[in-house]
Order: sequence, then C-alpha cells, then structure tokens
Amino acid sequence: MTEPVLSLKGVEKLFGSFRALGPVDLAVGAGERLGIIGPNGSGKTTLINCITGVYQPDKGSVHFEGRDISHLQAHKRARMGIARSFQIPRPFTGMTVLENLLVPLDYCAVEGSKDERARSVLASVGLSARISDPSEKLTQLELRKLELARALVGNPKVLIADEAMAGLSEEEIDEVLAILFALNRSGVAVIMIEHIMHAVMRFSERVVCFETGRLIASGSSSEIAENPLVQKVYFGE
Amino acid sequence: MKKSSLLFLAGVIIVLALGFLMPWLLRNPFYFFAGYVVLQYVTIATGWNILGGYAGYINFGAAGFFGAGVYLSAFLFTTFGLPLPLCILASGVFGAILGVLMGYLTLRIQGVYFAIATLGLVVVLETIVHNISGLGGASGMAVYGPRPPAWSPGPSQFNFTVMLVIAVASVALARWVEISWIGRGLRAVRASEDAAECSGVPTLRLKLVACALSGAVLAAAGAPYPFYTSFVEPVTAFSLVIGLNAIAMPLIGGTRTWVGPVIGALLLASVQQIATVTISSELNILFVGAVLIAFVAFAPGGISDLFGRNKGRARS
Repeated sequence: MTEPVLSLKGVEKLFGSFRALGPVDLAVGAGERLGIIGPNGSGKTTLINCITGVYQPDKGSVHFEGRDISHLQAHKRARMGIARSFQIPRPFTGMTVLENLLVPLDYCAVEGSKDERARSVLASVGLSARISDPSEKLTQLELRKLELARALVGNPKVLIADEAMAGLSEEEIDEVLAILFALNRSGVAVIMIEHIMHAVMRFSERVVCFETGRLIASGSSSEIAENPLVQKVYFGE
Repeated sequence: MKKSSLLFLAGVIIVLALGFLMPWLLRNPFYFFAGYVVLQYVTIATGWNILGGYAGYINFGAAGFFGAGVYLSAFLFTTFGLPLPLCILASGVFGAILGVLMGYLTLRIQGVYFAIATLGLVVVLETIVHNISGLGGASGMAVYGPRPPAWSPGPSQFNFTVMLVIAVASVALARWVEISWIGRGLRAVRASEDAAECSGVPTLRLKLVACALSGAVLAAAGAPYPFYTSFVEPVTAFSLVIGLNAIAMPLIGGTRTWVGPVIGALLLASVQQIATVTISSELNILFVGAVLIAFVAFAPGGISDLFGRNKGRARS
C-alpha cells in the first residue's frame, strides 16, 4: 500500500451502551481502491460517518494526510478533500442539476470558473443533457450519478461511495463502475461500500469485511472470497 | 450587473418614487393608514422567509422579534429622544442579536421541536415586558411620535413612507441572500442538512446568519409601530396573529423566492384590511386560516410556484 492518505486508529462509536463500531484500525493509501463489505448492521455506514465527521468517534482518532481530524466538523473535512455519496441519494431538491454542483463549489476552494468546473464534471458522469433540469426529475441512475458528481466537483482526495450501485441494473452498474475507475485513475482514493459483491470484487484492490462493528478480515478480492470468517458471516456455519 | 438585478433596481426606484409621490396624490389618509399594515406584513413575511423559507426552519417566534423591535424603539425614543432612523437601526441590531441567541439555543433541534422552542421565545419576551414597569408593564405605554417632516403631508403618510423604505430594504436584503452563496447554502440545508454539511457547507454558521438576518428584519418591522399606533402594549406587540400571518403569507405566496412572501403579504394583508373595514376585524383571521388550509392542501408551493410551473409547462 502507498503512503496512507487516511488512517483510523482505535476508532469506536457507541450509541448509549450499544457499541456500533470498533475499535477499528484502518489505513487507506493515496489512490487506493478499497472495498468495504459486511452484512446490514455491521457498522459500515457508522464507519464512514466517523470518517466524514457526521459522527464524532467516542474513542480513537481519524487522521487525514497526517493531520488529526477526529474533532473537525464534517464541512471542514469535506473542504480538506474527503467526499462522500449517500446510500439513499440526497439531491438538493428545488435546485437544478447544475446548481446542485455549485453548492460545494461555493464553499470548497476550487480554482477557475465554478460554472465551467460544474459543467465539465457533469459531462464526465454523463449528465450534460440534464444540466438545467430540476434534480427531482432525475431517474435513479441519474440521481446516483448526481451524487457522485457533487462529491467529485470539489476535487477530493478520498471519495467514499456508500452503496452507489444499490437498485441499479447490470448495465447501470457498469456505468457507475466506469466513472469510479476513471476517477481513481486521476489519483483519487475510492472507498466503495457495497452489497453487490461482483462489483466490489471487480473494483477493489483490497477488501475489508466488517461484522458487528469490527473489522474481521482484510485482503485481496480472492483472499476475501476464500476467507472462512467472511464465508461464515455471509453463509453461516 | 445582471439583467435581473437591473430590473430589480429599476423596480425599487419606481416603487420608492411612487411611495414618496402618493401622499401628495391621494388625499384620504386612511389609504396610508391601511397601507402601512400591508407594508409591515411585507417586511414581516420577507424576514420570516429568510429562515423559514430558504433554510426550512419554521419559526413560530416572529411576534417575539417584532415585539422586541416595537418596545426597544419606543423605549429609545421616549427615554433618550433618539431619532427615528436610529431607533429602527437599533431595533434591527437587537433583533439580529436576539436571532443569534435563539439560534444557538434552538438550531441543534429540528422540525416540530424547533417550532415549539421559537414559540417559547414569544411567551418569555412578553412575560418580561409585562413585568418591566419602565415599559408600561401590562397596561402599556403611550408614545408620541416625531413630527412628520415638511415633505410629508401628515403622520399617516409619513409612517407609510417610513414603512415602505423598510419593506423595500428588507426585500432587497432577502433577494441578495437568495441569489448569493448564503441562499444556495440555505436551500441545500433545507433539502438535506447532512448532504449540505458533507458538501462543505458550514450548516450551523449559515443557519445562525439566517437567524440574525431574519431577526433583524422582523424587529425592524416593529420599530415604527409605536409611532403608528401612539400606544404599545404587550398583548398587541407580541400578538400571535403576527406569528400566524408571518407563516401564512410566505406559505401562500411561496417560500422558495423573495417574490413569494411579497405576493402573499400584499394579497392577504390587503384582503385583511378590506375585511376589517367592511366585515369584521375578527373575521379576517378566519379568512387567513381558511386560505392557509386551502393552499397547504392544494398548492403547497404557493402562488409563485403555481406560476413557475405554468411557465415551465408553456416553455416545454
């Protein structure tokens, strides 16, 4: 793995007496493609909420480019270069597709014309034709693309795609994967959280598996597929 | 400057020119007496919409800010003899401070809890004023306003012109907020606070800015009121009718743009004034309730949204 851009040390998150996550140690290299898998309730979304700042970890620390960001608010982490898409798309309703991208551009320092930057990112995800449409009118695939475009427009260094392919057809999954591969080629580390196994395995250089808030396995796609602990989690004894 | 901004500026100049000329063209002071109330509600609806409309935080405390503006202005004028513009400015600043305080205490809660907390502000402020004898307590205080200047034919006309300037300034402020990065950030907050925060929007700071601006406009709307009525009392200054109208007018006109609250206030306040004179002063509230229910049920986006949709259909 290359020099880590993001690392978690002993991160724990509790809701009351319920331990939703941790302790977790995890490092993500610059430009790495990391897949995160695990059954529902295994702590994947809690993990990314701790990384992005939606939740503050109760114990442990999150480091980004060598800096401790554990207590930074989510918007500051976003401005530093940690972007995410949401499991259920959350478009800024009441705005056009273009305006949806102008929001992060208003608040994240990006060089050059905001309008041109937004248009070029929308073109890269195939949404040029929908630029002036209200975001409420987009299809499920287009909403997923808008989520990714909105995350990409601020030039992130890490992108967390939270189930970006849920509910899509095979052709649509290929389209989203192509966008993520292209983004990764430009040097952005991509963390993919996904239930669609063939997509995670195809995309990821490294896969980690979570169960009940703990990281139980880490390795290449083939190593993870053959790992008895992972098989137990998904198929039982 | 953009074409839309130039058009807006031209509109502002025309409205102000008409406002200053009308007192010399219309002789009956009642028009200005009634017009004052309409303009007061344009200001209140516009101020409310900065937080309630753009950011989606429903504030039931508009009467609290309005009443604070009424009493601060009355106090500064009667005690220190401050000129009217300074009374209005001071009320606006006080409203902004009150807005930030309310924001710090309430913005971490959302939905119905936020609405109830803001309603509490009205009760708290009204109770405080009730117990300050220097402000007249429950029995109220008389305020003899400044003499109208030579360019105005009478007190009603002067009050109308003052309120017009405040209303125009409020609408210009709301428009600036709407088209700026602040407005886009607030609309993002309204759509999804988490998504906005993860897009780099400092949601809490932005909501505090909205609270301050909204509070400033609402309090400024109340500042000339003591000179309009020559008497202030807690029951009318903190009246829940003000809070109801502050919500109803933007909802009926449309909350997404600055035009909506203006349309809603012009329409509803005018009808209320007519109903007060021709039917009954109590029935006009019944009218507001009925219209509000109708709009929430059949046109939740308000009048401006209905027009926008029809324009969109015609284009396509």
